[in-house]
Amino acid sequence: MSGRVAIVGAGCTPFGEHFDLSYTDLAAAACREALGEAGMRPRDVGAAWLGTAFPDVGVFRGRSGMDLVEALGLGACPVTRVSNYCATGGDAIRNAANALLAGDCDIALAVGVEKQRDRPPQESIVKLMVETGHPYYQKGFTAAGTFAVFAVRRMKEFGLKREDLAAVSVKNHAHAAGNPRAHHRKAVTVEQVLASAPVAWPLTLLDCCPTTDGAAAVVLVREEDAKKYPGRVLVAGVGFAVTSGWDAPFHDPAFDFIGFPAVREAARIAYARAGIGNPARDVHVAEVHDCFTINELIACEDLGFCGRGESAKLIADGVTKLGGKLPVNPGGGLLSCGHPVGATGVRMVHDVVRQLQGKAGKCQVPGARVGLTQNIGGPGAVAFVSVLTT
Amino acid sequence: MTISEGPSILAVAARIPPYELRAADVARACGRPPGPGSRRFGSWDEDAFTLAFAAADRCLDVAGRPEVRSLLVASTTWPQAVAPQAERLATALDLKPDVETATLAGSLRGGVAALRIALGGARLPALVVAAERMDRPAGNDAEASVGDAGVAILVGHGGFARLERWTTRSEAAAWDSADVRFLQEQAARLVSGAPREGCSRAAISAPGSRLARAAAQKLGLPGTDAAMDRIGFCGAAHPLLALVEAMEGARPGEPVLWAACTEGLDAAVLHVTGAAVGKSFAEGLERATPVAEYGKWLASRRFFETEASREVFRSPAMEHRDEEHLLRLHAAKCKACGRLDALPGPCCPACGEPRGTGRVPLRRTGTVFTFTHESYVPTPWPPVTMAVVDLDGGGRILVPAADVSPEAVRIGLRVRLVLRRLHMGGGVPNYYWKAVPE
Repeated sequence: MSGRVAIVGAGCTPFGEHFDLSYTDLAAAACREALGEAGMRPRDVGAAWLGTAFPDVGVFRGRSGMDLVEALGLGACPVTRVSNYCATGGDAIRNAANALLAGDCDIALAVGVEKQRDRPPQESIVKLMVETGHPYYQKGFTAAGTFAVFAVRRMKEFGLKREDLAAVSVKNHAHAAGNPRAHHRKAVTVEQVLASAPVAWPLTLLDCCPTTDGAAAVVLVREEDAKKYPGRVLVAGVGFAVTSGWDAPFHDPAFDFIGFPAVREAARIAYARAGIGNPARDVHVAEVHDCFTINELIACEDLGFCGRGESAKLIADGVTKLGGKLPVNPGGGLLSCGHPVGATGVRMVHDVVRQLQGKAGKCQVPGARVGLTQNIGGPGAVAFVSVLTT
Repeated sequence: MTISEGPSILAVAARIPPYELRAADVARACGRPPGPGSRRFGSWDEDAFTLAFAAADRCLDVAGRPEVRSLLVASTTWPQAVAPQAERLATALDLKPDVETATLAGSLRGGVAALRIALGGARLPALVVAAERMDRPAGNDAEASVGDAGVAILVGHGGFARLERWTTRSEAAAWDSADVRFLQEQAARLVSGAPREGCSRAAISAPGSRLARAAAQKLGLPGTDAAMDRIGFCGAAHPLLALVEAMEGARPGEPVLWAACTEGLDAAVLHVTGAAVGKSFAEGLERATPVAEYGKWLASRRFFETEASREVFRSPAMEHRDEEHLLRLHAAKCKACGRLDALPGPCCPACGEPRGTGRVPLRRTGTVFTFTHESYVPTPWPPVTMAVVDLDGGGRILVPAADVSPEAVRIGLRVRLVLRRLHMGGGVPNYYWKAVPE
């Protein structure tokens, strides 16, 4: 497949506990903003991809493309539901881009929506882990534990300290103070992170993203059709990889619990397509998947921002904070924005679009022309990486 | 009858759980005057089945894993009234499917009867297992008088110990009287029918410490009774536990009278001709973890009552399909690259080659590769430690840890996999492997 696509409209709801908004309300709000920026009406959309990871947490909304047709009054439109764990949003964008390049449609809409707070937080994904799924494998694990085992292994391999993890939370919460769409906008200290409730050793509550409602959407067209849209952002390269099943990494004798092969593979593909030779130098701003603090440290290494085992130093040196050489999660990341699962990958792309447009407000990275998003799913076995340019 | 040339005892093992509850701590929590004694109890995830498994697994280890032909298991506290206890145990022990099995229940004599059948006419080698998870009403004076334990005895030819002059007397008199003086008299009367000639010591089992003492007094033979004093009365497992205690303490050439007073009498003369292989009874007594918090004890016993509301998904069809992986703990071995995989699946995840049907048993000892302590998972004794374990000889598995404090868990910790309760999905106990310190 040749050619490239561009984003000509992006939208994102505030992330938070939207007790007054339904799944379809959230989907509609994000899509209207994205379509509005592109000067389009809903029925201009040629095809759409609707990303929702866990419809069973709510009232089954998001199980099928039907729920987007209803939310936007699309009439008749080919809408595909996308589900790939926490990388659902990224996968929705990838499918939209591929359909444009295949000539299936001329205007594609990629949407991510997750309505988690129709239940108390612990009744959502923790409950899913405890009450459903395989009756024996991984029973006792939560999402936090899934990644905490990487932190413990890194403590042994690289001398990772508890405070190194907390530094990610401190940085991203500080960034979120300038992001009006973030779920939590309050700065935290290392001491507060360490003193917060234990979740999965060594992770505590402030090492974990909250349970959040939200939706995000982007409108895409082929590069040659994008010229008339002044705010367009080019999708320079997308990489996507799925490397194993859900239980496999924890039963794989060769798995090192240091990084994610899927991320390295997705990054390799995206960098090759976008012509990124040295990501630490060529990328100006990055949105990475910090569902837990440990994940940002791993992401920085898997994406090539630093060498293996060097991410704690990278953050300690201030490289990845706003004002540093390569700001990571300048809007606060998942830790502060929250993680409406299907929406997250699309939210990241929305945020980088705003950065490249120079419209990121207090979170703006001055002069950013090349941005990256990284979205992972499952036990890190699903990974999406995109490189966006002006 | 003379069974000198008949079957003998090849190996024995006891599973004595580490947790200890003192009567004084019960009394303090319930505002009563303190009483003497203590009991042992299994963690919240132990029941008669898991205790039976632990004892049987150890016994087979001691014996060098011979091919068991009969499996007889007994308890009065099976977690389900109707369930394939012996068959599930046989599968988890990775015995051949043609093993002859029997589950005994509902009688304190079950363990003794299983041993009698094994010595008298079962296909050999025969593995006899008895286990109990005993409860008395909370706050009751007798709460610390009963105990949890598992015991296993392997019967075959050419063993280190024999039971001779087995004497049996069946009586219908009920033992559920509250009149201790009456019961003491019954125990003393019954034990006087035991073949005591030539014995210089005795190992007496009766349903309660005062009854056992009365019987021992009547005989006038010295003996130890650590099983009763420090573990508590273990129901159908108790006579076998007393027998194992006697074997571990016996000197060759010194016959011991072994007697079980329950539903009548079973008694025999124990001859130990060689050193008992293993000291699992003594070691189990040695390894004690006192639990002084009465609430922690109660939580361990009541957890599944409160947890029953959580409907964990269970599928007997899936369990049947994956039994070889889940319960026998066999791994798929890739014909192309040699990798061992604990998970079922149509192809090798490493090289993508179709797997075929070849399976190899995984070893149940290994080393912790990484771990975490989960604080948000419902459990009576938080947190739940989850460990990625590299098994000796190859293969990796993710399992919860048990019987270990979080502070003691580290990368490189040596562990052994045991079967424990994982949850009560479908309203029945669901068992899976857990890692305990080796």
